[in-house]
Amino acid sequence: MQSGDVARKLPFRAWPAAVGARAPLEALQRVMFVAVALGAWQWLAPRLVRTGPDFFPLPSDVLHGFATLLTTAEFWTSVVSSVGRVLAGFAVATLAGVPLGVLIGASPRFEALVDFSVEMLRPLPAMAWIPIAILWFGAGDVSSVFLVSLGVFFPVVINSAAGVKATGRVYRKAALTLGAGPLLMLRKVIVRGALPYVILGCRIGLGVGWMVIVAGEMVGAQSGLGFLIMKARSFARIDWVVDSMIVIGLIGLGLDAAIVRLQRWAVPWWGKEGT
Amino acid sequence: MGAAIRLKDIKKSYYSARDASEVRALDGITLEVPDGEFLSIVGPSGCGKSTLLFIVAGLVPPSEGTVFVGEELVTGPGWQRGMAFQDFALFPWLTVAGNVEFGLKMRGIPREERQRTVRKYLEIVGLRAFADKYPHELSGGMKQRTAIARTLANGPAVLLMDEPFASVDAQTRQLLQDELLRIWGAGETKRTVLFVTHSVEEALYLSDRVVVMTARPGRILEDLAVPFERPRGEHLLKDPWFTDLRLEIWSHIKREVLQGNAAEMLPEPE
Repeated sequence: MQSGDVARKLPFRAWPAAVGARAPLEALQRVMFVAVALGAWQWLAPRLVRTGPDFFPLPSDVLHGFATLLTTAEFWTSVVSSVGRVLAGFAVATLAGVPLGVLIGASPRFEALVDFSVEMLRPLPAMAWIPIAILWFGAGDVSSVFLVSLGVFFPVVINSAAGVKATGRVYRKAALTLGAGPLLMLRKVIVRGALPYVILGCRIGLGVGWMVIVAGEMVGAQSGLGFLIMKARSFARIDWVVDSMIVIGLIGLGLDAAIVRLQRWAVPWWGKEGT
Repeated sequence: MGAAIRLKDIKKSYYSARDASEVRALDGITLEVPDGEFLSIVGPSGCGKSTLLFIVAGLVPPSEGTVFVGEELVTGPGWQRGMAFQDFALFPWLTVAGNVEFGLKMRGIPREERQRTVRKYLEIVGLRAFADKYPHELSGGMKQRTAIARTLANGPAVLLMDEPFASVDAQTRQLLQDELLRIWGAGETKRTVLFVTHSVEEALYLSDRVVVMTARPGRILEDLAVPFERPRGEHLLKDPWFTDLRLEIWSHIKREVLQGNAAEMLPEPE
């Protein structure tokens, strides 16, 4: 297609690509923006509210808080347990969600059977499951993993199903007229064709999962970054609260960037002109 | 020569959610295509010509009627009826060579023979140097050449082409048409071709025979043998006889559309 040549030259930029920005000027602007924002905060806040590490932390307090927080073993074990729970929940949800999504997308009859249930459970916030999670699994790792997997599960299912439907129409007709039987086709064409959507679902799901874990740990766990925030609050160390928030944001960014890399590697044609 | 494709009283109607009613797409198509013939189907947009092709491919079941390809009654899709699509439908995760190899792999052809066949057909369509490229790295014309090589390599008895050149630019289209004629005329690969297009010029330029369809529900309006000798070249496009014939067929299609009171169904003016 004529427009293909143009599209190919346009940089395909997902937002987290900013992390590894190629243009130095853009990177500089980004740093400047943060610096200006922090400077304004440092200068303005003391003129408006009571400041200090126990009430309204200034950037200097936050920085100072990091100096102490990063030396504690509890911080590092919190990071490890939060990330570990998210990855475990992500793995469980993906292993269950991708096959279910593929089935829904490939079989209208199966879709008709489960559509109502999936659509009814999907809008439930993972947080609504906390009482049941604690009842079933107690406050701890298993509960957290359960909540995360619920958060990841639905985006993965919905996107996998959409992927099979969208790409199935295009590739199925070609595969069938080339002599592909139903089983080979499911494996070699339908799943492969749906992969961009599956990965997109994983990306959305991982983001949701990371939000769920922090909230879940605030009420249903005795460790992790969410728990750390609540603990810092009870010690009136608001600087540590903010430190933990920053760390949570950065880890979320890192997880997303990892999936984007995976996406570029696994489906290099994604976002390019139609094939 | 025996008939490669025999359509007997094909009817197709389907329920359209948009119109909330039954749509009669095809209303009794009977057609025989002799072995080795290049036959084009033209008609107003929405006349069911693509549906007819999908029925021959076995991708869509007819409501009534039968399709025979050779001695075999068509009940579903199969590699003996290869198809080229308007949107190419290449597999973006496979290289050009991988796409061409796909059908052979599905049919369990041994590896060495597969590679030989792939090389041969990439040579024929002039894409040898692009064997390891992916579809998203190709131009529209190259994509369709890959798709045609993919279909031909599989050795189908008949080749079904659904507006294969509709989504490439005009120059590329002319080149692809000449290339298709060259490939088709090349002795051992000469196959029965059923070609659907909305361009009367394209149909006349390529075919031995042109079938004109009515507006929906599609019936056969005209069935005419194309009188021009082969090999054909661009000079034919300026031949007054060619132009007259083109305009005559075009006027029939136009009348058909206007009678149906559906100006939006007009194909591109020639």
